[in-house]
Amino acid sequence: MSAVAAAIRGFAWFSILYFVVLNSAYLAIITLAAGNAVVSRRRVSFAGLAEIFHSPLAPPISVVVPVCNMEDLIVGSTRGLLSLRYPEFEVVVVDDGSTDSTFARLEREFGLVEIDKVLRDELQTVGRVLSVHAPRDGSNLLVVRKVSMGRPADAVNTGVNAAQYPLICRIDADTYLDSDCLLTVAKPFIEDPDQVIAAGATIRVANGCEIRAGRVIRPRVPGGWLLPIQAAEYVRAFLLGRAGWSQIRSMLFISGAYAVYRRDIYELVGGFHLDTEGDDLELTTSIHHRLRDDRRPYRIAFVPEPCCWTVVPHRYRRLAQQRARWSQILAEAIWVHRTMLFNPKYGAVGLVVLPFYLIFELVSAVVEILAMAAFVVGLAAGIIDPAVVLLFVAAGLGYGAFLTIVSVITEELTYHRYRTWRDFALLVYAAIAENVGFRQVCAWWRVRGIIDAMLRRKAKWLEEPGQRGQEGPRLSMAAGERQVPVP
Amino acid sequence: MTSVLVVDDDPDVCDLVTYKLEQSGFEVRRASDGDGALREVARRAPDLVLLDIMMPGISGLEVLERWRSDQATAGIPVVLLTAKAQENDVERGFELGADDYVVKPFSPRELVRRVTAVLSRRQSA
Amino acid sequence: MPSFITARFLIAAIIVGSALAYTLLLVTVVGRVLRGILADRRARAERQIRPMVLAVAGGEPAPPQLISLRGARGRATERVIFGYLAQVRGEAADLLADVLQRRGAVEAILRRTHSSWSHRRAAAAGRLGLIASPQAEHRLVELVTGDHSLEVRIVATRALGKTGSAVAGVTLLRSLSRADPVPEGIVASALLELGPEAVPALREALSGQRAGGRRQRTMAANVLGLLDEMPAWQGLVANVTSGDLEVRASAVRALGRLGLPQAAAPIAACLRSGEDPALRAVAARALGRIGDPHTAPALAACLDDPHYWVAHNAAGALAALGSAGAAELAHAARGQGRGAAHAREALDRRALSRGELPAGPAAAVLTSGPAPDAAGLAVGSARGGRGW
Repeated sequence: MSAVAAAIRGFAWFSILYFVVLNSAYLAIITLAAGNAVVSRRRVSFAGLAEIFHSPLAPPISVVVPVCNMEDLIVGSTRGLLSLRYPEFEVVVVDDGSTDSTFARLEREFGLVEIDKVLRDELQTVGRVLSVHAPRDGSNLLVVRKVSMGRPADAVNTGVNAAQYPLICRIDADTYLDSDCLLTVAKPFIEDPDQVIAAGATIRVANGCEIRAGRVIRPRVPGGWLLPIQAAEYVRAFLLGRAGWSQIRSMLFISGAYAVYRRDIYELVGGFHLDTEGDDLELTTSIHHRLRDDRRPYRIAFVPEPCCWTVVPHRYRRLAQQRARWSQILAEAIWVHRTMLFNPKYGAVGLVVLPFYLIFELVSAVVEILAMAAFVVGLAAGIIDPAVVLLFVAAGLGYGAFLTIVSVITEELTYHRYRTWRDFALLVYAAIAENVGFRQVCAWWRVRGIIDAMLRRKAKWLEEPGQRGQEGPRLSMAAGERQVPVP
Repeated sequence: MTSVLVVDDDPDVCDLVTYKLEQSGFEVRRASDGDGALREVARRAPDLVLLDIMMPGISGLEVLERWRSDQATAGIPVVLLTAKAQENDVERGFELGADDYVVKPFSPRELVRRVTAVLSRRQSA
Repeated sequence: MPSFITARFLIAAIIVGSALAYTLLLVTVVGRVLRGILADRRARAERQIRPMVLAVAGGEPAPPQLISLRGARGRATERVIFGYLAQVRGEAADLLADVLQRRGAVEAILRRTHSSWSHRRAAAAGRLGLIASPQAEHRLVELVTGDHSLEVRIVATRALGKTGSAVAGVTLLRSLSRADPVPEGIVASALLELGPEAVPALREALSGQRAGGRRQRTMAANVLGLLDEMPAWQGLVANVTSGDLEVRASAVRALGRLGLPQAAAPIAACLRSGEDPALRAVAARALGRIGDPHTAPALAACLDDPHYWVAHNAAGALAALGSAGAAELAHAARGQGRGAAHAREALDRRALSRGELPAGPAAAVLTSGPAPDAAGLAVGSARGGRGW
């Protein structure tokens, strides 16, 4: 019995230490990132977006939008994309076997006619392409219909095969871009076309924002429980991971990032891989892997200005699926690229970033669950002092809340997109509420995701066809006008 | 007094243009975006409009298009304000019926000269 | 573990943590409030000064206070002046710059370009770009060529673009040869902004007696094309027929932009099957822009090319070649295979652009076949954006 007791106590202390180290590391990165944010604000005055809009050097972009059963969103979203401010770009919508009226609505709205199109086969795709359509008025839209294989990665790769421009940007239909978004993210490519091969930008949560004609007019933090927590999470995650890592030139995009890639690099690594779920995280890891193997100089840029808004799940089950999926993606990506771990050949990515993701992002879910189990059992059996439990609460949860609050404050001081006191207060509340229940439940889902990865289950489209209608109250929508429902 | 409407989202540009025009004896109104411009013209038609092309929201060209397609406003002379190397926009502007254009950064004196020239051309026509 | 150690530890941790958190929150609140006050104060100061500055820009003599204002209002004066300077040129710009000179602001800025803080040098360099004086220009040239900090050199490069002098053009091109150069997109933007003033330096770098290396020639070709500099066409053609692949491609691209028929023949020569596929793809595109119907046969021969972009661009070019091109496309479209598919796609696009209904797909959607494109397709169409 005493061996078990010692083990439980030992693990309890280990978990406290683990979280102290983890949170301190995050704090260090946030400080780095905050510094970067301040500097980049100073730099903003040096080059205007209007100049870029008229710069003949702005490379044309193909925006690829994979969709499956999004009849409510698709027209508004496509309209929003077509009216982005950028000198030359196209929108490629890939209808991945929708069974609802997604295509019909597109056809009606844009006057689509079927055309002949030769697709490239540079990227491996599985689902057969059925037809390609373009609008009668000649605007820069392409709609590709294909047979669904249940994999969004396949749809994106098909879209890239159909795209004609040297830069690729993948967007989901439920993501809203600011009208200057392409300009913002094109800046690094314009300035340094030789070295920059990919660029990402900050995403924030669209729920609760005022949205009109596919644009976020006024950003607002949504109320409730799940939503403001996710809003705070996104603020923290992007400040942390992106801005921080980019300081040491080793960016890894997270799942659901907004990113623009150079098409030739995208094709070089084979696009989104079909047997892993395929996500920006895996893609950037592949890029680091491949380019360092080839000894090519390159740079992945990050543009900290928030210009992209995504709809996050407000329902428990969908959130659970999403978090499990992200964990699965991370586990798979690390597994596929495990030769990079602790390998000096891969520079900071191999020595610092990937191990960090493994030890602190992936494994933390497991540690958290086990720690909870250990503390509960330990307390009940009287093995562990209540003071130690409180210490864990302070070191793990309190410290975590503190980190989030620091991120929120940095956002306040730099980009200041959330204007009102209410928004700020909601984010602070969310930072605390996150640690009281949310992260524990998330940890459980993340562990399930890791198990899925180990069992090689295929991650799919987040929603099965037919479930869309249960998303929430649908407010009246006229030609893309909507306020994202907040339950 | 001849009235001119200046439409530009940059307040500095508006300041400079307004001052110079008023100095030259024009009555000047300002608008800072497409919506404002449409409203001002609907309220009271000016004798000439100085229109920036690159504005947030509705672009200057869209505004010009709307004016040209409406009988009441089709005849108002329009001088476009453009940034350097905005060739395509200028071409499009002329297609839509603009009378002249001025490139930014601009010389205020030259701008007034252009405005006067356009107005006198219209009058003699 | 004795419990009192943990208790102390715990209390200390909580106290420190909470103190930090509260301090930060306080900082934020105070920061927000201060930010508001500062902005208000600035706006108020500027409101009084603007009319005076506008009067100067309008040609009135500068009132003595404008010259003598110091402190917060002095800073506001300079902010306002620089704000307007960015928008004007000609006489108004000279008058405003004169006020700055008389205030001693120009000296102060020049001094600040020697500061040991790179961000101060950078800010000062940015302002120098708005002051069109030989002094300012000279200092900017020094900064571009000699400053250690990349950030400063970037700002100085941009600023040089605004000065409108010929020397700036030479400096900018030369700066490309450095070991640690300013990113080429920034140099290109600056050269574009210089416009006609940079042309002599560009033409010299392209094909003059002191022609530059690969980077300079590529940059020169790109910028001359983007500036629509027709007289430079001979120098461009000279760089089409032979030399470095990248230089040839940018020369071809530039000639496509210029759209001169005399360039059609040399560019069509680049379509030969022995040439690099990247170059051929760029050449096909350029021929589409030039629009010479005599090049239609050479383009039609490219339709069956195994490299996607060569065939795709050739089809697109034929569609832009009027009736001769359309005839070739129609002929090819009747056939089988990839070339026919490319032709049909181009015809559909052409129909749509003319407001007609496209013919639609003849067979199931065709993919471009088993042969993957050569890795050499880094230059030109597949590459992130130079002069696409």
